[in-house]
Amino acid sequence: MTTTERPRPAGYDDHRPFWDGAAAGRLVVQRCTQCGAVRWPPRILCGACLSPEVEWVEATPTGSLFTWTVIHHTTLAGFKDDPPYAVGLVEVTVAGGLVRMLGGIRGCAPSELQVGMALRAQFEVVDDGALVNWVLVGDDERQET
Amino acid sequence: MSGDVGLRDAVAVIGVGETEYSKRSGQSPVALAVEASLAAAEDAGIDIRDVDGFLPYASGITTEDMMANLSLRQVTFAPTIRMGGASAVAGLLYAALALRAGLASYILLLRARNGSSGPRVGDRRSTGAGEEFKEDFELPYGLNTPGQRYALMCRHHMHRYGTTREQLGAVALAHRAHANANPTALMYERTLTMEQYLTARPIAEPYHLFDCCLESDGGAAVILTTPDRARDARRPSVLVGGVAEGHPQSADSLLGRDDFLEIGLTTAASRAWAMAGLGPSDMDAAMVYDCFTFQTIQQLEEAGFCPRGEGGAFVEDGAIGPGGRFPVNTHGGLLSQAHILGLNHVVEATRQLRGECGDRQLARCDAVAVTGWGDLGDGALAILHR
Repeated sequence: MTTTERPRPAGYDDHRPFWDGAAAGRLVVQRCTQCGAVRWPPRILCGACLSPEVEWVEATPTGSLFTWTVIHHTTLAGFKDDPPYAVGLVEVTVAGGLVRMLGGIRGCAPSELQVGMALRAQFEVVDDGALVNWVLVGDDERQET
Repeated sequence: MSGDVGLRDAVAVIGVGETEYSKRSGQSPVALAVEASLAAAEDAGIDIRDVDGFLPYASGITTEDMMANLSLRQVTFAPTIRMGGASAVAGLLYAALALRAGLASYILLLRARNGSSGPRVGDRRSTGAGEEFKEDFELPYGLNTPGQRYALMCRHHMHRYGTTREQLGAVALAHRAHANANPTALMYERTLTMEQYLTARPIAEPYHLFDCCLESDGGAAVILTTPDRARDARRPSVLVGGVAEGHPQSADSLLGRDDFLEIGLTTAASRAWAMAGLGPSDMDAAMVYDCFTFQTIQQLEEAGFCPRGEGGAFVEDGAIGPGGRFPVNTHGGLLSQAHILGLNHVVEATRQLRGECGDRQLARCDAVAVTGWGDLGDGALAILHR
């Protein structure tokens, strides 16, 4: 049953707008059109007002590192050559609130990661979905923004 | 809270049984289940065929397996509780409801598994909640195990409250020291030093090897009945004074929680304490679902044994170890006795309250809190007393 291929996003229908956005280099999350609350993970109803009316809105593809783990022992054959690798939660501000998104954390040694580090989304389209990894914003980049 | 008090002392634990705990049982899970069940019935002084209620584990031995293999005459109550490692303690709540309502007379709460020699945790397909989200947004980044997810919570607590690796190590060492006094523990003969803890190989940082629970083979069983029937049992009965379950916000995912550290236990605790009419300071010990070292600290905080953020200091200097100020998991827990999905915690609480624990028996033991944790933060708390 084990496979040496990396697990790819299964591409569930409820997540289609996210894949379409990522394929175009856009980071999108759900926002309630009734009350404006943003949410992630995607949900059928708004957690604040229970409205089913939803739009997918673009977030600025930057965030700050909230927490992370450095994986040294993986049970996934497709990742067996990767350790150590960092996976973390990134806080992303969207008009209407803040969401936490999960992704690979790249661009620096895992031992040097710190809470609050500024990160930028990096898109990689794969099969029916896309990967969004997060890389450290360099000092140069930060001065430009 | 007066409605909750209605289930106070509705359940008596009258029998407990365990198989040998090992890394390779050489038996099927059903055979382990039968052995543990017969031991519990013997302990209770009942005929196993009088069992008419059954609380199975969602992904394990079924009601039908046990009816067929124990020749049960009739089963009239057999709900499946899907709360992962919190199900064993939550099961006491369902037993309370059924016993009070007269739906069953003797309820068997059972866990049996080959968690070491059978499929290991990383190989078992997860059947929890939020699987589609995990398949699309977690698995592709190489995140797929409970330890990796709970490490995220641990890191946050370390950052926010200054919890240290030495404090996590204090949890690991306390569990190991308890296990070193318990011949049934897998780690009975293996001591652990802080240096060994700190230099162990990393698994999912901040977790290293000794932050992680064991994977083990074995079975445990508990027989529950009404306090009235318990008077005829062979052993002194242990009563469930209060019990409650709770679920976190965004219950199927660690993402989407406004308060990243709030778990099911946070809300269950106040209801369980109110039902029992007791509080944390009335407890002589706690059996905490110690899937990882930090989750022990977190549950001590959320159950109310210390304020949030002070759990690291609470466990320092052997405070939760043998002879400490507040012993936690005197059997060694999932970290050092065996991973029997938290039912071994109910067994140990019962044995401590009966005074049967030999070298590790607590000098004073009138009331013990038992927690359960599963599926990204589902929680349960039970207060057992003499």
